[in-house]
Amino acid sequence: MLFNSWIFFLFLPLVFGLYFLLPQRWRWLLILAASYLFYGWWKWEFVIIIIVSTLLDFWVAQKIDASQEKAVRKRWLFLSLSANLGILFLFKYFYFFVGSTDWVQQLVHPHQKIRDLVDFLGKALPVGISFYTFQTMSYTLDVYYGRAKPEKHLGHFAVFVSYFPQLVAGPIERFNHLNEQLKAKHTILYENLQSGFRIMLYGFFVKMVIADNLSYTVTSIFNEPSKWPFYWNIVGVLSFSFQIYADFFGYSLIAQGVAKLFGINLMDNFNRPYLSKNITEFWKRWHISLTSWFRDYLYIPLGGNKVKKQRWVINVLLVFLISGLWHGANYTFIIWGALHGIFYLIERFSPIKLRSTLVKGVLTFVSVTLAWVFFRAADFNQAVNVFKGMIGINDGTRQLDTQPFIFLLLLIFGIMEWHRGNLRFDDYCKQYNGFQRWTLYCFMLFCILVLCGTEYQPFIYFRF
Amino acid sequence: MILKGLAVIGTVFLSHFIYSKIYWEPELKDQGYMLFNLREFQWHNDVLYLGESSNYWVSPNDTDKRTISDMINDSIDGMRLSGMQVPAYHAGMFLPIIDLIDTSARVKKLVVTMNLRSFGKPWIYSPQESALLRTKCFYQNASPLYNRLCATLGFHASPSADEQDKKMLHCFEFDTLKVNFELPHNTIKTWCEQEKFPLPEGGEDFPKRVLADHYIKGYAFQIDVNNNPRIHDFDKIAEICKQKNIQLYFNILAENVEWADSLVGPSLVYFMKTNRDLLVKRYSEKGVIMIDNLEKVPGQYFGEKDWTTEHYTQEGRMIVAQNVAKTLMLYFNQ
Repeated sequence: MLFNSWIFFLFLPLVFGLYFLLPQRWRWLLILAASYLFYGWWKWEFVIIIIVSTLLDFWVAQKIDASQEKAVRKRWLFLSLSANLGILFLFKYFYFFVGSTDWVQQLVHPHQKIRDLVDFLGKALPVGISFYTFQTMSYTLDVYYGRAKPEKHLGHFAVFVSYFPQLVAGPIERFNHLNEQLKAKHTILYENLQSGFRIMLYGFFVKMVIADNLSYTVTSIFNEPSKWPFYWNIVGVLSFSFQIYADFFGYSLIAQGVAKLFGINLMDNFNRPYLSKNITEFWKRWHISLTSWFRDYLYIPLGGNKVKKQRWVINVLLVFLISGLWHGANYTFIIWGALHGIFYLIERFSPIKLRSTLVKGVLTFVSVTLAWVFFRAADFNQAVNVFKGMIGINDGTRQLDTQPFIFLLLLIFGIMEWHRGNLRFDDYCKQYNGFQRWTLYCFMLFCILVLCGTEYQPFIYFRF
Repeated sequence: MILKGLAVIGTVFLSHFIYSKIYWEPELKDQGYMLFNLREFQWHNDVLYLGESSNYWVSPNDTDKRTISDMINDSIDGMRLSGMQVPAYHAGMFLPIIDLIDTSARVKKLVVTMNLRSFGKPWIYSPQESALLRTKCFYQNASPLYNRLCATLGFHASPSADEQDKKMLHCFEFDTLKVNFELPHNTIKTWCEQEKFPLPEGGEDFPKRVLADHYIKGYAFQIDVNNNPRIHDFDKIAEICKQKNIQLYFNILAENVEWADSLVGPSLVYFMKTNRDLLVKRYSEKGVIMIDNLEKVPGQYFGEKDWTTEHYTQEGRMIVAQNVAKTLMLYFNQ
């Protein structure tokens, strides 16, 4: 189920109403059922993967906690990590790295059933698998490192793994932050409703009005970069930069808003990343829950910055490469991750230190935007063609019929983002009086109703 | 609280007003072309011709570029006809359009294209179906803003190309063909596997083999009147036209029967004709005037020889047009 689908607008009030009607002891069951329904609406078979992952990590965490011996704890941890990563590999990477290779294709070709299985693994990517797998892994790791006590109630743990607002595209929450909130007794509070609806409204505005409207420009350019003049290629790449931000930021806002209605605070996933002055800052502001995951569970265990310089460089590159691979089974994602790693290292070791904040900001934005080309391109050749298009090689003559109002809306969005500063959107709204706030709400509602994209667009990050 | 509620309601009404006045028309032209045309055409025509690409496709060698509907219009004295066509449209797409025809409009006759292949699985499970269903949201008898939101919020089924493919292949493998004569291949899959086109010098004539496969997949089926979605849609069209007092014509398009016969053989032609007979009988009984063009166009007048299409050269279009025009004139005063 998608937040921007009609069924969600029936699902949410129903779950919300039932949640507050039910006694506290049964609420977890409702949220669990709702979460599985939310996920299974797309393909119910894949709920089984979440259940397997839940049961395994619940059990392993108890075992880790019960044992005092480091070796035994390590073995249990190894079992959990290998099983979770194994599931992830099987459904996300197996076909790309193994199944599609010539020798495997030749090997399985005479065996219809095995061939069907390999083809199935090539096509069936359970949505959000990277998100909930990382969330459960962080739980096991936290229990192993003694940062969290294991949950004794299987149902509550299952809710933590599958909590529907953030199940398919994050934020990737930590056990200590989310679990206690989920277990606490919540009542309907006007402040929560006000805040939740505000954030949701802004989220829908950002997703449906900004991101979806940019989709046409981006798709047209990336599908046939050689057909357009250089300036349209540049517009297409810039548009993608804003589209992916608006799409993912919009999703995160809606997730936060929905959770807030139930009294749950989800972490912020974005903090105006395009206003960053360097790549390091960008990664502190972009997809914060994933960045902090990699920092806490990969970068620091690898030694963090307390290792020799050469080793540190390798660690940094490794983290960025894995981060790229996390997004998808394609070389383009690996290149995208590698580029960010290289940018990061250049920034660290460059003898030139820029003083102008504006120049630094522009340089960071341009670097990030150029790297997005690999992220968006279906393959390496397409990315190269987009770059060629941008510098005028194979200069096409076709003109794009993008509506100019889209760029006006983008400008409005940019001003709003710049103006809200470091405040969350609901806190930003609080600064203004009722009339001003409601004028803004009505404007956003109007844009959603009249100016949103006409195509039904799933969220980009669902693929991951 | 009342003021806030009024602000929301006011915004919705204002949105509806602005969308209907400013954005709906251009969006309809882009997303719901048939309705865009219908809004005007129904008031200025006696007859409407609803079709798909067969209506406007022209061969590069054609000197006469007129559409079938234009040719019909030029051949019917005393009546004015306009064509409305969108590629890949089928009865399920024509149905909501016909439902929107105003009973007080000038149009009182309707010619609806009946494409035999549209009853088959490759078309029913076409990857384009999802996009067509989205377009259908614009054809609902509701406010323009509501229709648009339905399209945006995915208020329609949107089967993926993979899912559609899977269903089609399943049918090819398991739907059996039941006939009175000996048919060694009772599924599409086994039939296609059996077709062989050996070359004298050895090997196989691959292009011919591919084309034969297309013909088998396109025509080797038996219409199940209880479960075929097209039957359901055409039935509804007949019903609606009766209610609206519109004289309805189903125009069974010409297929390349000659090629079907020479490539695959009489058993395939049997299916084409049996299905045609079933449709003629079923809808004649429902009071629809059937125009049977199935075997009217010789193979040489089909514009595309490497595919199963209803794309005709100017001669082919003229044959279909004259047959339709003749039938229309026959019922001129009714």
